[in-house]
Amino acid sequence: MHDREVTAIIGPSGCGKTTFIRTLNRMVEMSSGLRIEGSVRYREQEIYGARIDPVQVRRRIGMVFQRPVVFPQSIYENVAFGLRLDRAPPEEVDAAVVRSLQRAALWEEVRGILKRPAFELSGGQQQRLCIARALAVDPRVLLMDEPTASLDPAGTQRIEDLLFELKREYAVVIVTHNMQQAARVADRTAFFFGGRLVEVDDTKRLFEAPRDPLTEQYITGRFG
Amino acid sequence: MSANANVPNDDLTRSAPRGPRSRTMGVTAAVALAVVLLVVGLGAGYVLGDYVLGNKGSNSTTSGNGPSYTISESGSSLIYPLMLSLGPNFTKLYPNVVISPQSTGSGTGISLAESGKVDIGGTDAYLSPANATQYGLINVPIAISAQLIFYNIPGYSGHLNLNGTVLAKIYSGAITNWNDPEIAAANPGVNLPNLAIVPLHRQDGSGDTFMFTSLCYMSYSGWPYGYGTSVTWLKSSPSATGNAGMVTTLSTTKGGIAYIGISYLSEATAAGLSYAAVGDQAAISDGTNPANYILPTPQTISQDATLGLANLQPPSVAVSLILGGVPGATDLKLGGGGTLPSTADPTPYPIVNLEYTLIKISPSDATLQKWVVAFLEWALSFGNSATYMTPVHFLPLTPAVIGYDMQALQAVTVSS
Amino acid sequence: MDQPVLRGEGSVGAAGHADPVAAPTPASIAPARRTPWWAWALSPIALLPLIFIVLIALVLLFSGDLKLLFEPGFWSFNFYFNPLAPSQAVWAFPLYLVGTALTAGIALALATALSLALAISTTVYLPAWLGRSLGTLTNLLAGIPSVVYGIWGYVVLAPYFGLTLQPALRSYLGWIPFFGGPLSETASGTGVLLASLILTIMVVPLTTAIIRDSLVSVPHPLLEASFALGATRWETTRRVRLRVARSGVRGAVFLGFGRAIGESVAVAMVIGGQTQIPPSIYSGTSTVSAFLLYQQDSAFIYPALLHALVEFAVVLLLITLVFNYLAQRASGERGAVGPTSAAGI
Repeated sequence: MHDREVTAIIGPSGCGKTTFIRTLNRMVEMSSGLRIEGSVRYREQEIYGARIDPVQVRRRIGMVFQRPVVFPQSIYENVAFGLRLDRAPPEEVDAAVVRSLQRAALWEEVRGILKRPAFELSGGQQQRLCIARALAVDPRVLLMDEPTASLDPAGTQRIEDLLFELKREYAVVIVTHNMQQAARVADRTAFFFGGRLVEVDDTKRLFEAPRDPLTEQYITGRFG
Repeated sequence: MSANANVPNDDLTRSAPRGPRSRTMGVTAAVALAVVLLVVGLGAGYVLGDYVLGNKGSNSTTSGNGPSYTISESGSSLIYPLMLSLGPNFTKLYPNVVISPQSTGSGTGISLAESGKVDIGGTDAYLSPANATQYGLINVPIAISAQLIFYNIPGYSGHLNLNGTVLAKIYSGAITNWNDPEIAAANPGVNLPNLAIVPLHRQDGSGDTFMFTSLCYMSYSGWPYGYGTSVTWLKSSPSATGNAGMVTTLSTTKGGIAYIGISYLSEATAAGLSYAAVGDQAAISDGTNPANYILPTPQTISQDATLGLANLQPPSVAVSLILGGVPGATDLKLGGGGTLPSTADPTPYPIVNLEYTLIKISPSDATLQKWVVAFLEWALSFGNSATYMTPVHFLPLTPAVIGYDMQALQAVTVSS
Repeated sequence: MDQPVLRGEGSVGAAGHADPVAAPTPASIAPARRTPWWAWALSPIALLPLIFIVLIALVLLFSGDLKLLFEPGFWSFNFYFNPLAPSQAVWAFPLYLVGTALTAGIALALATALSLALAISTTVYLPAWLGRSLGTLTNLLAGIPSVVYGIWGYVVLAPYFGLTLQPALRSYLGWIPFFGGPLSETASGTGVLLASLILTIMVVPLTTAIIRDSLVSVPHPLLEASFALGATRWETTRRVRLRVARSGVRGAVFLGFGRAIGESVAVAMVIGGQTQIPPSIYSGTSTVSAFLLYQQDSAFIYPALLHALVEFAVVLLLITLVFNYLAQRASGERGAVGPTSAAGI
């Protein structure tokens, strides 16, 4: 993965896309019954290293889930959640909330209703709220696990537009089962199958000239 | 969501074959089971309720050798152990009759006897003649009991001389220290400590409270609380539950004093407590004469019962035996009417009462009542011995009481 | 083109938890079902508790006529009952109510703290198998008859309290109000402190079970979202779990309080039974239900006492109903949170 790039992860159902992305910020440890092997490095640091605090990993590597998950609190408090953990001073929280909502392209829609419960927002707005919430703690990497899976086409469009903005500042990893989406937004694409990484390449090259026959079969729709 | 992968085809409608039969049957079985359990439960509750309340519905049943009878008794927790030992021995003689006793408290016993829900009510306090007439019940004393005054004075294990007046003053807050001159005057030669008196009372309604407050009421005109099984107490008076609770609490209470049934004599003595010689009627006017203080012994207790009945006009067994059953005893206050009975030999111990059974004089089931009367007559003659009474800390009735009892039982309607 | 038949693919990481909103509820897709005959037949049985309560209330009302409630003596603090002059009786209901509220209040304060700690440690911190076993164990404790606690408190705890613990508490914590008051002369250990602790032990299983349930039912995605933002387990528990489960906690407290004020046997055995406002936590006092329990036998002899007991019972019934209603309403709000989180996921 590279800075200021969008990396897409594609593959058929159950191929390990979600598990893979969850290993990247140690969220995978939240599930039980898993064996963790291998190595993940963030800026030359082994994130599964003995002296690494998973909490710090997750501050640097934010995550957005398949479905929007808003806390039963106000819009403002949702965005401020991560900042409150650090006991940031109020004016700093205020500034960060506004900045994050602006970056998530939600500010114009919610500026007057910050104190309203977050669940009153539409699904697409909620998902952008989740992105704003992830951005508020100023991560370097943003992991997105099928962020548009539960959204309608208009909501999907907004998120995809947003990705182009976000990649100017962050490294973005997006899991999708929608190859068109990968082709539209990603600079690089990785294809997973059966729990293994099959191929990773420049998006254009992967779709036009895949090196692995499995990849070719998948992108041409012979299975999936 | 992935659970849907188990569905064999795409048909998700309700009509899809999913083994509806077994499901319906399962539900039906569950409902049937619930209904059966409900019916059984209600039925059991009904039967148990009858049993607990002593309903007489199932009193006479016909078994192999003719009809058999169950006599229900309910009431005083002191009478309960006596019934437990009398009942089986009566059944040995008459295998078709079973006595079924319950320990529920005197008030409950009276109430159940009044409403006819038990055949025999057991109570520590007699039923007033007015109520007895109203409900068609008679008081049939079945044993003699007594009450002791225990105290916990560190360093003193003798028998203090205490009379009703002093006790009433202690329990109404007029005497608060063991070195009070009034106590000292009755106990020459005893070095009483400067120690606050802590009067303990029974938290639960109790025949012992009835006896003790009767003594206070009859001995001291300043006693403000009347007498009964539940009365008011000083706010500073701690409480305990049951005679056993009185013993344990008193044993940790320095300077404490408590009234405890004679049944708990051995427990209290084992706990290191001592009991008082209690002043008789003469001690009310002459509290300084040690001769007026009586220790509880089988002789002095029986004597009180004899004297009490002898002094009663007209004869009745509904009587307070406190202070020898002074005529009009319940209305007697110091200097307020009534004559003191003549001193007898031995001098009676003053806190004595009869344990009563209550039965209907015109019962609804005269056949059963024949057996109730037979049981009581047996209890009053063969059962009225140390063999039965000593283990439960009662004393056998005196001949005078038995005479009244037998006469009273003659009046009960029974079928021959 | 490769749109799967079923949306979503049950990714490995997320397969561990059920998603409460993923499947539309059957009611929303199935046509209104016909109510089977047996449901109709059984429905009156469901009404039985209501019928019982109404009957109890009616019987109490008819036998008590509630006249006493409007006499000033009923609301006095100085109990007086002379069986020879029942008309002069002063029932002093508030005196007993103070004992009830005090013991139940202390018990609930302790029980809530303890239950929160227990519920959080068993759901969040301990390994799942151990947490579940401990949870089951706590539920088992809820079934122990209260008289067992009472006897245990009276036989085992009371002597220790009276002779060792209370004097020690008084000398070390005497500067706290109510901890410095007089020790009971009986040194029997019975009184406000022991009664409150026995109540605490009785109520903890109930409150822990409810709080545990509400903590467990917090949707997993909410917790993941919190972790993904770099929250620690404690931060997630405090800011997400407890916030979402707040109504459950409130319901547990109300239900526990209702249980505590109604408990008679265990409290009566260790309350000390003095008719006074307790000057310290070591003092004996009485409670409404202890009074009911211990005076019922005498009440059969003295009609005036029976009358008073009935009216005590009516007021106690009302108070308990109020707290159970509050508990219901608090957990009803959990129903309102349902859609909240549902909309949020």
